[in-house]
Amino acid sequence: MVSVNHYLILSLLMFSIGVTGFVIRKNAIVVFMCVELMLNAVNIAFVAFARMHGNLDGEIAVFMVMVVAAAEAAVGLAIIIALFRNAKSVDTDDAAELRL
Amino acid sequence: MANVSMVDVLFALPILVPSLGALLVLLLDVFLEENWPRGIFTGVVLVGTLGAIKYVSDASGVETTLFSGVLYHDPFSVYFFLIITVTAALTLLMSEGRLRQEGIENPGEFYALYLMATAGAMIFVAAAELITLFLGLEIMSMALYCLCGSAVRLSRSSESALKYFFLGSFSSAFLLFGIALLYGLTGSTQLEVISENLVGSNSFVVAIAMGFLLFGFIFKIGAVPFHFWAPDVYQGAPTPVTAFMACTIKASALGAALRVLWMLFVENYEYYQIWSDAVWMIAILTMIIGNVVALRQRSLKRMLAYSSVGHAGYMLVAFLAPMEWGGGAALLYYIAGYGVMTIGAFGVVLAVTAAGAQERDGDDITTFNGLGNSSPVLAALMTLFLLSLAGLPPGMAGFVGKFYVFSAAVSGGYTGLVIVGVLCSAVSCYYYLRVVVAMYFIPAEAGAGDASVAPTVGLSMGSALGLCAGAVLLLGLFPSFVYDSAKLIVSGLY
Repeated sequence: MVSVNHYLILSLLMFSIGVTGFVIRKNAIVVFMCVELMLNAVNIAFVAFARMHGNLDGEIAVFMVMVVAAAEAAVGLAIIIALFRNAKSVDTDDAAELRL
Repeated sequence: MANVSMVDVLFALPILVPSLGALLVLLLDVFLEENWPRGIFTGVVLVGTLGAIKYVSDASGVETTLFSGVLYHDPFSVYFFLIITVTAALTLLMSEGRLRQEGIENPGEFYALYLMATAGAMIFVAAAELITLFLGLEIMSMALYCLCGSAVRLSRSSESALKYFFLGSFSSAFLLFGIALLYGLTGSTQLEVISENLVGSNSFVVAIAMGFLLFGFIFKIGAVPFHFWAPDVYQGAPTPVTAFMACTIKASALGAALRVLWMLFVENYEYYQIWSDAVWMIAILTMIIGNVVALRQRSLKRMLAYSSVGHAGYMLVAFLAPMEWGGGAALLYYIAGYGVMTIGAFGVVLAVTAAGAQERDGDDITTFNGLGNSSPVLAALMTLFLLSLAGLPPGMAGFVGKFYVFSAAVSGGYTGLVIVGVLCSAVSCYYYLRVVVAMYFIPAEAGAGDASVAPTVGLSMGSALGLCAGAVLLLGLFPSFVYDSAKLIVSGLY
């Protein structure tokens, strides 16, 4: 029997993978994917909780989060392209002009 | 069943006016000629927003929520609508005609995004429901990410946009997870329902949710340990955007954080201890790190960024002194004062660095050498704003704000925090006064492209700086006017 706890563990695992990837990866596109992974992990948690409580609030929240993630993809890729035009690289280590 | 009445729409006008204005700017940009007066149009939209706020505040007899419990319609929201719109309008006024110097090539997009961020900030602060709160936060942030990168040909601008975008979406994902956990515990995303149902929940899960929510808010407020983005982003972004972030966005995040955290964790006394310990730690670290690291900055924008981190620390002290001790009213007053003095300081930076804005070190402190000779009025205004930020002379907004915050904290029993705060203010005098010394006592080097040539101050910049200076003095000399109404506003918060 698959219970709410199983979904929550899956969600937490995905979230942790996203956080780890965000911290250790240097490629801007991969870092961006990790953020999307974190958002989708939250979506799983929302759906599991909605099922547990038997109301639809959580499932509606998922739609909102999906819209936000789509908008974030548009903005994020645009910013990465702008950076690539200026720096000829999508490596986050190369974006280090702003220092003391 | 949920239905939308006309009253809801009318009371949401302060949010709807800038949203529709943003769409109109984009639309008109397609049909009108290249140089149509976008700035004036945006200004008119913001004045219209002020009119809508006036209408809403006159009509606010009964405290209600709009759209079946999505947005709060109470004096607290109205106060923050006012702060957000006024600071946005002042920033707009001072940047009029200076966008190209800052490297912004598509003014139409700039103004549209600017209005969207303003509308998002208002949704953020008025949200009565956590998904709406998240959407407001994202509308505001998404527009800001683009604004930071709006000088598309300058690599430092796109770098600041990238850093802000990654760290911002990272922190919002944590905030969202906190919302999901609260929903899991209580079965609702309505703030009031969560606050009721939270009693007796598993306190370990509540603590995690609290930590995640705090992560999201602290990031937007720019407090330690999530302040490291602030100096880079503030320095790389075009100066008008920096001023907008430092004042409008910070005010909105503080308002939203105050409402949400107090409703959820102060009202429920079983969670108050753990909450107050966390905020105590954050406040003390923020004051110390913000003010100490500011000492070694040479770039004025970076210095003001760390100074804004330090001020976030003072404002978090007010979080710890709930209503009966006057922390909320002190915070509301402090935000107003902080907003005008910071906009003023960034305005002078914008005026002085206009010529060298494209260069990386255009805002180096040596640019201010000899400003007291070449442009005495500008130097005097900068001195006024910096002294007020340092909290030195009584009779200016900065001093009075710190006085209110610290006296509220003392009556709440946080004397240690206040001692650290006062010491940090003393430290902050050094880096603020260093700029004053540069302006008056260090002569400009010949031909170094610095202030030996008087910077041009147009009508719009002049009036914006004049209004900021006037507001700093008025708030300082007649503080009770704002403070008394702030007390009334906060008393309706619970």
